[in-house]
Amino acid sequence: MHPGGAVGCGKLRSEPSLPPTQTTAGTSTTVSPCDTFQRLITAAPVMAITRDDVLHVATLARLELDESSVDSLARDLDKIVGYVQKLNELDTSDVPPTSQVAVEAAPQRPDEVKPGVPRDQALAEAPRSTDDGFRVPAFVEET
Amino acid sequence: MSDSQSSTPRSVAALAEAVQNGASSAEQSVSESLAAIRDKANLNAIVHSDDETALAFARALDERIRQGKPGGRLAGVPIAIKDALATVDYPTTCGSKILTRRGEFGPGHGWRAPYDATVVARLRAEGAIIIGKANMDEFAMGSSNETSAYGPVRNPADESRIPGGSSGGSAVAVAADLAPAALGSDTGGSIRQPAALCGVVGVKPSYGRVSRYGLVAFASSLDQVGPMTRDVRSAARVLEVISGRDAHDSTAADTPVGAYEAACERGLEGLTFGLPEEYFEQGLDPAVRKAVEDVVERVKAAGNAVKPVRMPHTHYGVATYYILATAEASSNLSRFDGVRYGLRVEEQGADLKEMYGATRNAGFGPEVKRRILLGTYVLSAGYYDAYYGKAQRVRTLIRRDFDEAFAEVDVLITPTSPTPAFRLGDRVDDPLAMYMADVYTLPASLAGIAGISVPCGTVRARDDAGGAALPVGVQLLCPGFGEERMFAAAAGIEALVDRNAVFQA
Repeated sequence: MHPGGAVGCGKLRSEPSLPPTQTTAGTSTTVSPCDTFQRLITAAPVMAITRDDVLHVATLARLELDESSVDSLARDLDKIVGYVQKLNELDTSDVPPTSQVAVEAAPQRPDEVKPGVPRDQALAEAPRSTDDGFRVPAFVEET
Repeated sequence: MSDSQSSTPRSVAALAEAVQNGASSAEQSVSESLAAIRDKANLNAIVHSDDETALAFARALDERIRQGKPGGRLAGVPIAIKDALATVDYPTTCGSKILTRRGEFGPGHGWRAPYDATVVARLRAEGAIIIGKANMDEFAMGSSNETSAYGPVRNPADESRIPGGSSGGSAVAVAADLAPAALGSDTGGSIRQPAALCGVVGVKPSYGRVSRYGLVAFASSLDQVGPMTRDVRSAARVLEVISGRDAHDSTAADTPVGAYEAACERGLEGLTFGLPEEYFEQGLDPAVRKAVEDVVERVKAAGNAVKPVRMPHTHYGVATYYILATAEASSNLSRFDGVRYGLRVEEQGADLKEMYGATRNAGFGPEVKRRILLGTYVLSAGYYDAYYGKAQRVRTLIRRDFDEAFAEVDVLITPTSPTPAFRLGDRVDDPLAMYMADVYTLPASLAGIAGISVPCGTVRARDDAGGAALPVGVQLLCPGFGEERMFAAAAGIEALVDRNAVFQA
């Protein structure tokens, strides 16, 4: 089960390393009402990570797991997630997030069209390919 | 430094000069390096090497020099490259089975990159010879080099012990004289910690100092490539070569590359040092503490001010890091899906999702799976703000600790690692204990500042009083893009300490 799983604030973000806004220290940020609610729910006693949690997250991560590894993964994750609760000792309600440092030094380059990797080179390392593309198993269900 | 063990100089500058002026040759230095790799294969430091490739580059360079052309700032210098960096002429496998190529797994086999990483191209342009790919923790996830699919690397000081990680193969390549220099990558301490545990110099440049193009991404907001060498000046020269703007990586900063090698001659004069109390508390091995305190005494005796500073959020570094780094990794490693490169596991009749799941199960080792699951968990619905958002805010507090400290002092002095090298197998079943190995290196990574580990002595392990002398490193931290100051301090301290001294609790 997922304690707090019914809370609709969070979203699965597929690109956390490229967040939509890059905030650095000293820049103000908006705090959503969800943040406040999340602080309340995470102040509750430490949750336990179950087998079901591990299997659910593994599905999200497209990671099949050997049955024999699930229990030990649940124990490890429970221990680590328990440890990181330590961050809740800190009041960060007025602290902006840091998603990247040194962005102010990041230069821009001219937006020029340049050739990419040639097709035969791009396909050279593919485990399975056709004449003009990567070959994958069927993923559209037939009606 | 003694050059008695080999006929060519071991410092990068001296070797490049000897190759340029004809006192030595690239072929000679590369031949010695390849022989050392073979002789010390038991250390398992190099996973992919190819004598003919390396020798062909060496002979071509020697021919250029014979024609009177400049060989470059790294002329004939053999360099080992962490296997997370793309190279066109060697496999790139990140210590993982998932970069298996055409069903063949093992040394010499694996994914072939279509281009060189920018840092590799820059080394080659200055005459360096790539002598092989260095073993590493799988996808740089580990602090002991035990998560590599190619097996652990052994510490040359005591082969029953770990070399540190994740750049363990790079550290051992230098420590065991397989090469005078290596490149590693540091996400949370992966250059500095193995450098300390193997008794070599390791530099984690400021975030943005060095291009990440061609570095297989672990945590993109933290990853930096840096040099590992015998001495500080050699590291400075290599960093000068690999630094700077790169059209292929927008996070590679425009900030001018400094005169790092020249800065090594400046000395310590005028520098104020800070000692963060939080880095000297419980958990620090008493003998390691003695070694670092000895550095502090010598710095004071040289006439420098040393002030205590407080960095109250240090204790939150491990928790912050393991949320942010795993979150970023879970996204970055989604590219390993069996479609475009690497391993593919596909049962008869399997659909796309089943192929993804089976490929990733077969290709990733236990620690990588653990981190992908943790990262996916902290980003998943209902938990994103509580974990990922929270950790991003604490990251700001950790940055502020450094900003406030650097308003008072020029350079921070800390231990690099809380303990000397532990035994192989000691922590493999306890991920949290393993994560604590990086407690002193993680905060600087989160802040994106410059750091270096310099050898400062040796200690006996607490569980092996009669055993080998194990290296200890002192970590010096400077503000972002403060590399010149960092090299001045590091070279000054290197000259003050005896890296072979034995310290006892």
